[in-house]
Amino acid sequence: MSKSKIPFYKKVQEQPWLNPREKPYIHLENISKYFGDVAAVKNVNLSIYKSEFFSLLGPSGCGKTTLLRMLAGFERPTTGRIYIEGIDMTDVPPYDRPVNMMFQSYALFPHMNVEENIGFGLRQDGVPKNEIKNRVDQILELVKMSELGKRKPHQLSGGQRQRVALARSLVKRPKLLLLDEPLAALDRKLREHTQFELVNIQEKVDITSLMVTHDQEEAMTMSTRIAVMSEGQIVQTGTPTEIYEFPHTKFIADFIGTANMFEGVLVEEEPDHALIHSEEIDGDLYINHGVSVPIGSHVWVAVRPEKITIHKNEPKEKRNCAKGIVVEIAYLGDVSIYHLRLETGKIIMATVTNFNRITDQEMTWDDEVYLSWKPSSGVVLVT
Amino acid sequence: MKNRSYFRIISLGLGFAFLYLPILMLIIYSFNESRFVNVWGGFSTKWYQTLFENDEILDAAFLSIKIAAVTATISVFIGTLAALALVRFGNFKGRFLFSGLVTAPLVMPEVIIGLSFLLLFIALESLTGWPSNLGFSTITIAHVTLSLAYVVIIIRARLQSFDYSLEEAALDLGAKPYKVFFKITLPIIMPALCAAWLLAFTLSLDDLVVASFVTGPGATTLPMAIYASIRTGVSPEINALATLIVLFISLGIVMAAIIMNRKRNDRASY
Repeated sequence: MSKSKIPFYKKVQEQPWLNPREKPYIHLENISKYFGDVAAVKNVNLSIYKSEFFSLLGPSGCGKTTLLRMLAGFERPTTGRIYIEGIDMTDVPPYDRPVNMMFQSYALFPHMNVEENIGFGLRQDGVPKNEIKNRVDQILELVKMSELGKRKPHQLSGGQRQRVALARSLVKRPKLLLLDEPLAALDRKLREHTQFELVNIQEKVDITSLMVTHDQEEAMTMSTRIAVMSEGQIVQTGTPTEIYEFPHTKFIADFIGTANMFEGVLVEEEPDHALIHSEEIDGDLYINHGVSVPIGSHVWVAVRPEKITIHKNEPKEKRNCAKGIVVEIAYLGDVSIYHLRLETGKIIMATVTNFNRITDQEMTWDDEVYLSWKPSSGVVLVT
Repeated sequence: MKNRSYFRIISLGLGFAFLYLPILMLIIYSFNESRFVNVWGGFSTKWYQTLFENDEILDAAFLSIKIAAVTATISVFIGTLAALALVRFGNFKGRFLFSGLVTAPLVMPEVIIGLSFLLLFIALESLTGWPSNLGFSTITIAHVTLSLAYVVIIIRARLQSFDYSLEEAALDLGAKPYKVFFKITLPIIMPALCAAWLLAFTLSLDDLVVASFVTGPGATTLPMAIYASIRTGVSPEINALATLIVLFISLGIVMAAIIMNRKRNDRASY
């Protein structure tokens, strides 16, 4: 993993979603959307607070885009209400909503130049000409495009078009900014750079934002909170750290990052620890906190690859430890991913940071090694 | 440059000759001094002069251009609406039938179209008194039917490749639906409308068969006038006229190409 992949923690002093007295800025109440008999979105309840950068994360077809389009007003929910600042917006057409969207394709008007594109929304509202000019100039400066105001969209690069699209959706100072996969069309290097820039701009203009993405890294980097969606439902809402470290289900643990999954039965449960017996590993799995699930339950234990340590000699601590053989090594430069086969046949992934330059390889194919992890690293999942 | 083998140059030359030699002959002989079409008697523009003194031909030309312009305008208007219905209104009942009927004149023999229009107009006249005489309006109506199929096909193709998110973006930015149509949709499909207009115009200008059926006394279109004059012997005057038409149409095509080219660059942005 490259340096820029290190999660960027948003400077949020207070966490309004933890304060029960705080009123949500955007509120979705029991939203469902059916296309014929097919439910695209099922019973979604969601509260977004002022100035948040909120992400809807999920695989394609999970209903996140439909949810976004309902907020923009392009789709009408089959049931449920949408509130913005406490006002019911469910039946308000898109052109009367205080919401602007940045489209995945950018949707820049090809017959207008950059300034005309950005000023389009203001012209619709009958803003006086000189004010339009000022505001367009201001926003162009914000996205560092002042020099290119007279260009047509086809004369711009992908990154420049992305800035124009962002500027166009910000210039009306909407109450809610919707971002539909805003970085999907950019190449990798530019995308990583733009993630930070987008967050900086969003903080500067202080506009509440909702982003849709299927890229977990993007969501983790940019968001204050993430809602993970699957099959039309929100399966977990939380900060990036919560979602990554404490996933609620197998699906989430697997979708956000990667996880080694051990299937087993809970054999011991106390407030301070839990023991899981798994056929997939010899020796029981030990967790250093209670899990409030009845003994005998069928559970899974998820362990992230970067939380696993590889030893050449057998460690003293026998819990959460196993012997394995190196079957695959993927060298990524900054880290290496090892695939290890346990004696039970289970394949485990472990990432190792390459502190030293690898000239003489410490571990190689078919080496016998030991792997272990801390009692706090495993997460017990019931579904 | 090994690519420029003689074989390639010659085959290209033959190809172009096959396509354009007849037209080139026509243009050259329009400047012929001699009265005979097949004898070169020196350079002269006298046939252009006599052409502009020939009221019969000039009247026919003006009538044809008038009919062509009105036809093109009406069929682009109706064609746009039909194409919008076909592309935008989803799978409404009878969509397939509608699409088939609109484009049927493409494969219908012109003789049949002409004849059926003539019969229709006669029946209409005996029932309602209109049209009391065949001419400008009846030719225009028949030509609209003829060119509508082509117009719908061109505009439909453009609408099918239209990026809907452009319209959604405009709605999202506060434009009401009718404004979205006039500020976004229409300007973007305008090149297709221009192309369709030009095609309808040339189709109408060019038509001899249908027009002959539905015309009446006093209304002679240009193709009819040319055809009539040919029967009494080819006059160099007609060469001059044809040269002017070729010039006129070439200019139109070049203009259309320039418009389309500029717009294509715009369109490349998504």
